[in-house]
Amino acid sequence: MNDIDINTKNNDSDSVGDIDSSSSRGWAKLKRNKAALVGGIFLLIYIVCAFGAPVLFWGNPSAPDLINSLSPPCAKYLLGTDELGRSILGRILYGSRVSLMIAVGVVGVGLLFGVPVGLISGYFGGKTDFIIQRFTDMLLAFPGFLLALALVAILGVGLKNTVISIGISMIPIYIRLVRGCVLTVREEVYVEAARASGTKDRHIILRHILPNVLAPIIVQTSLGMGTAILFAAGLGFLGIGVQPPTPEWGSMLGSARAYMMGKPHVATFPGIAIFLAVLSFNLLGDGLRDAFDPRSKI
Amino acid sequence: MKAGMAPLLSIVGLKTSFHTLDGTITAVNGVDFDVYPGETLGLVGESGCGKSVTALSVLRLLNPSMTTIHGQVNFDGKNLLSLDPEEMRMIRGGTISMIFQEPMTSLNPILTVGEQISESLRLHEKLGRKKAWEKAIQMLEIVQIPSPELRVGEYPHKLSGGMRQRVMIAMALSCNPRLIFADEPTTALDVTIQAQIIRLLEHLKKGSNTSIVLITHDLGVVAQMASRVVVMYAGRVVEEAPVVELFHDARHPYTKGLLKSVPVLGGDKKTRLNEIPGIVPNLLHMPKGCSFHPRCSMTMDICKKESPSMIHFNKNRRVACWLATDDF
Amino acid sequence: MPVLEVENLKKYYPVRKGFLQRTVNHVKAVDGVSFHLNPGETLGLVGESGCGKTTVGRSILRLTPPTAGTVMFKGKDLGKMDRETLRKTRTSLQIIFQDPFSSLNPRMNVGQIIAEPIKNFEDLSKSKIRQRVAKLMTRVGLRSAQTGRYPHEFSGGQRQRIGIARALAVNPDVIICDEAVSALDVSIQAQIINLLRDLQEEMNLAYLFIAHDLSVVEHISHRVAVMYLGRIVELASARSLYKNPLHPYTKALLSAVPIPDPLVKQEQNIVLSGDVPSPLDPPEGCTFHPRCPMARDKCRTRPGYREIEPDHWIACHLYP
Repeated sequence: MNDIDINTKNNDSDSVGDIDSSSSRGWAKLKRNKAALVGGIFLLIYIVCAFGAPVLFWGNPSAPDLINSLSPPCAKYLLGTDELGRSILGRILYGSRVSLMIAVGVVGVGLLFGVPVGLISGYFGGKTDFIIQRFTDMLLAFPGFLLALALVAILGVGLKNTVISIGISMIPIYIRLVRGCVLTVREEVYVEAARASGTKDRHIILRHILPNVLAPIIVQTSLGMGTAILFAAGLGFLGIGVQPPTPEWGSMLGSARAYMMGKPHVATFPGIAIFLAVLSFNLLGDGLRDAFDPRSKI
Repeated sequence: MKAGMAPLLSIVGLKTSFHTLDGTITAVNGVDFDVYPGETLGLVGESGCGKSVTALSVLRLLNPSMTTIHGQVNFDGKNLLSLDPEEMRMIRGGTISMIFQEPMTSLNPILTVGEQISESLRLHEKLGRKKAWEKAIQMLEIVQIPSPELRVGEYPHKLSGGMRQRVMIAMALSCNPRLIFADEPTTALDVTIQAQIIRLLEHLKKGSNTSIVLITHDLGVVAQMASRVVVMYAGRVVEEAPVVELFHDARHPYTKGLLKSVPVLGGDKKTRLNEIPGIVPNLLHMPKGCSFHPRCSMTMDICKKESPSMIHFNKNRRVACWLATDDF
Repeated sequence: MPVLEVENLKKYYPVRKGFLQRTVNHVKAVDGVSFHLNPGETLGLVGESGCGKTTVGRSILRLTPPTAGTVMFKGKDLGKMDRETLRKTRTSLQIIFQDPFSSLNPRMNVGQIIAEPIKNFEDLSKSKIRQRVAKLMTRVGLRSAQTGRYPHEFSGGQRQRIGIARALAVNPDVIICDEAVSALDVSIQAQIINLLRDLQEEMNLAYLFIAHDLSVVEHISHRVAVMYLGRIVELASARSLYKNPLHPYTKALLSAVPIPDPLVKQEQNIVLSGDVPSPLDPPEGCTFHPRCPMARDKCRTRPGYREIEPDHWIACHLYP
């Protein structure tokens, strides 16, 4: 409809400084998105907390101080203490390390298995695709959390098993996503061009298809990390996630349940931590989605 | 055109800029031209020259938050650019209508052909539901669609490309417009279908006083349909002439180059085609002076420094080139 | 000896319906096409959309496997080759695509795009490859300093030059130009046509030039084949096809081309009525007969494809 090609560069005049790529355009769009920016800032704070926990909090977050148990926020304990007198601030700070580890680990498991399987399923199609898709259909028929729960029941509790269980429950999401994207990219003329110039399938997948499906994978990674934290907190709350005394937000919330009425701060602060962490990943994920979407021009 | 006749549409100093992430680009940069009642004006140029944007600016179909339009578009004693949106809406599709290049994407896939034609009839002509439907059938008959009473109830995807373009034409004509912008109306069609549509448009023009602005890059279509031609390059008008003069006595080096670069059926195969070297300049990095000078074979020093002003030979003959002089 | 011989090429797409995806019908995209291509020659393949001309190109390269027929490259049957031999033969058979925007991977720079076919077939050092790429870029009219740039930084015409460089990278004998200049503006189109002609002379390339623009095809081709609904209806030298078209469809097609000269009024042109029928349900016999101004009863049977003059082939009952 409109015949302007804003990307067309005049390469005959040796104008420098026009090296922009679709990704830098994406960044410009991301920076304009206020919600994503807020998400990014929260995320940054969260990561600083995780890495800087020993610097930000000197004491031992697991050391009980029974005299001060269930203390409301005061000068010594900024966010108060839990039933064993442990600093809630310290536990939240150290808990951020645990939840970040879980987030990265879970998404890592999802990517490691989901992406290659999705690529193969989408690119080759046929019987392989059929079998893989029925398998993912099966896994997706369970609500994700229920699947993770069932896997924990099989594998047992603990940090590692939490990561593996939630990670496995995410694999089908990645397979589905990657396969869908591959089906579109596979039909691109440049993929046909690569075949016509005798490129091997392996190279076509790695050089032509994977780089062009990265954007949605990155978006899903951000959103997936939020979900992972939420799931881990859920398992912790039920007492079958990361085990105490390791500080974990969900289990903090779980043990605070008993004091909810009299001492609401014990449950409130870990709740806020979970809320903010998940929110920041989701805001960032949505921002990334808009930024990578070529149709949005804002 | 015809002596003493007042123009129907008069565009004065039209300037349209888009605000993009890379900066502001001026797609139309000071375009003037008139359209007289009953004529077919060809608006010619290559992609990016601003010919489509000109039409979209006149009809105010560009997103106002991303564009700035300056200048005047006088139609029927009113400046279209200063009308309020509601008044403009009544003009669009009523007295001025548009035919788009891609009839598939310009028709709504979930409405039947009849619903789409009668919609604008009910809006602009204030016809009742039944009257509008009957008129829609009549319009399909006018654009020579076989068995219109059956076709009227069909969805666009059931029709072939040529049929869809006929429906678009029927929609454009339904409210007896005084001016039609036809943006590449035959470009998406096969030659034999293109021939049908050209013949249809010519047939419809006979005995009506509707003016057509034919926007196209296809010199063959212009030669066969237009009576007067405006050539655009990089957002500006570079030449205007009656069609015969343009094809046989072009003055601007760009127009000359363009005419010589098209292969002609039965032409001399041994000779190489005349090519215009280089590429159309990027609107973000416009060359200084005449925007055509980096590709021009007759560039002089002044061309690199200053943009040439328009030289008028007579009422409908003008060129923007430093080489052109009054006695050229 | 022809470099490429296509014999009775067919490509049917099954139409599946229902829960069991049973094949209920076939779209006969290409229905028995035969021609040959000599070294250093351009054969134009024209026709309107849906006539199967693009499918012919793709079936020859086996980007989509043909349903029937043989394609012989230098006397060897492409259909009988194993995967690896076929992959190696691709050095000799290249293709240039229509859309210079979608045919280049947006995430690869120009150097990587042009180097890919070289890397596929030759084990060269990085600097050797870089030299080859630079040479190719200069040859097609790009500056070799631009190797690090990405496709979106180029205009349509320049992107098409990148596509040409990629096709030339492995020294092919045959290039299939699939609407290679159709998406370009006229002034740029002329540049690319001239470039293709120069390259042909220099490297003795054979082109199968698939396009819908008759004037362009006539200009660049030595011989031209006209397709209608999956079949070639006429094949002749470009000169005799233009001067002396025999098939009624060719005549209509030629007369429909608008002539860029307002003094030549095309009042007498043959305007075909109706649309091209669906290849799903093509008419019996000669597929053109429902639109043909000269149709007779006999046209309900399929006409043979015969050489009625030296090098002038036609499928029409009017010429017994």
